[in-house]
Amino acid sequence: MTSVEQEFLHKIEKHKGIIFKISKMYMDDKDDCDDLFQEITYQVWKAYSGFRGESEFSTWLYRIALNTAIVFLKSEKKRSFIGNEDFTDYKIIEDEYDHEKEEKLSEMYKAINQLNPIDKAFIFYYLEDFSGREIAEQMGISEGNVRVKMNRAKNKLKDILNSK
Amino acid sequence: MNIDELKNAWNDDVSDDTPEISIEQNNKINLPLEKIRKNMRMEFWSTIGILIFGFVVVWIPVPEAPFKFKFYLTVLLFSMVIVVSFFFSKFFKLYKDISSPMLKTYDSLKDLMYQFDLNKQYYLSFMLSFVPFLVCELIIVIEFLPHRKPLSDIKVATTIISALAIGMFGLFLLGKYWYRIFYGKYVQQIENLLIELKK
Repeated sequence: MTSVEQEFLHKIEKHKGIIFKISKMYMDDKDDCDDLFQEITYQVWKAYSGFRGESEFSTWLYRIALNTAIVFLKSEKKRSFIGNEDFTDYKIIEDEYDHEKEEKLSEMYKAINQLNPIDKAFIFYYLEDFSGREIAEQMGISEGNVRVKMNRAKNKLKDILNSK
Repeated sequence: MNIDELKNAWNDDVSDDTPEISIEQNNKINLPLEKIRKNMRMEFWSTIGILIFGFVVVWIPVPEAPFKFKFYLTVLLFSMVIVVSFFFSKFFKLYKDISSPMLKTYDSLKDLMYQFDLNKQYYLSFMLSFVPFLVCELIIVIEFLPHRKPLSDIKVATTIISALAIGMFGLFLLGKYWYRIFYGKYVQQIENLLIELKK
């Protein structure tokens, strides 16, 4: 393994949790989620030589991760109504299992999954406490537009959460 | 759950049970560009197959077929191979160079859309590039195939002009239809995202 690969793996290791969270926001099926996780990792690796350190590695990574997730296509396998594996496979073993926490997480991802890919990106930046200016920089739109879209995305999410 | 609780739940999600990190590309194809690349490869090999079939048909030993007839058709088919190779090399280069996830999201989507548009233009040019070949093949067939009575000049002119008009129109429509069927849904997906972001 080259030193660049090692450096990259060291950096990405620290952020794999957030990549996985993005994958779960965008995919509601375990296999698709794993595929998206791998695709993001691969795209970040492909782009890594272009990382100049002008911004935080995490900020740079989030942009690539979201850009990949936004255009990622779900697999075209036939989906059965009862056969889809969900995220239960990732749950921790029964002794350590926190039912309340898992329920809340499940409710959160189910609600976010119902948003469109662009709204999901705004919600991600909101959850990660990005400022309007930072989001505008990441998304390539004006701060005013960010405010409008952020409110819209949050309202949609509120409606979904309230309808439960 | 309200939106603030959602933030707490998000921060509480610290699962260590993430998939293994791999920097190798998996074989699954989930990006629109990858899908298009796969379709392109399939189209390329089908076209090559059709051209090889064409060469075989031309060189089936038929004693009545003059050498000139076979030779002209072979030259035409060979020219088609060059044109096909040129266009597909452009297509493949296009797909190799694009996909810029490092750009800002809006710019990245616009870039993707621009590349799709460029590809569409290439695609239509590719389809239309077959028109002269069709006309030439028609001329060769008219010239070499035996007719019970010789064709009048008017009839020859009408046949060729009609073939040109129908060929151009037909191939243009076929190109548009083919593009829509094979690539349209991916283009539409990107277009919708851009509209959503601009709204």
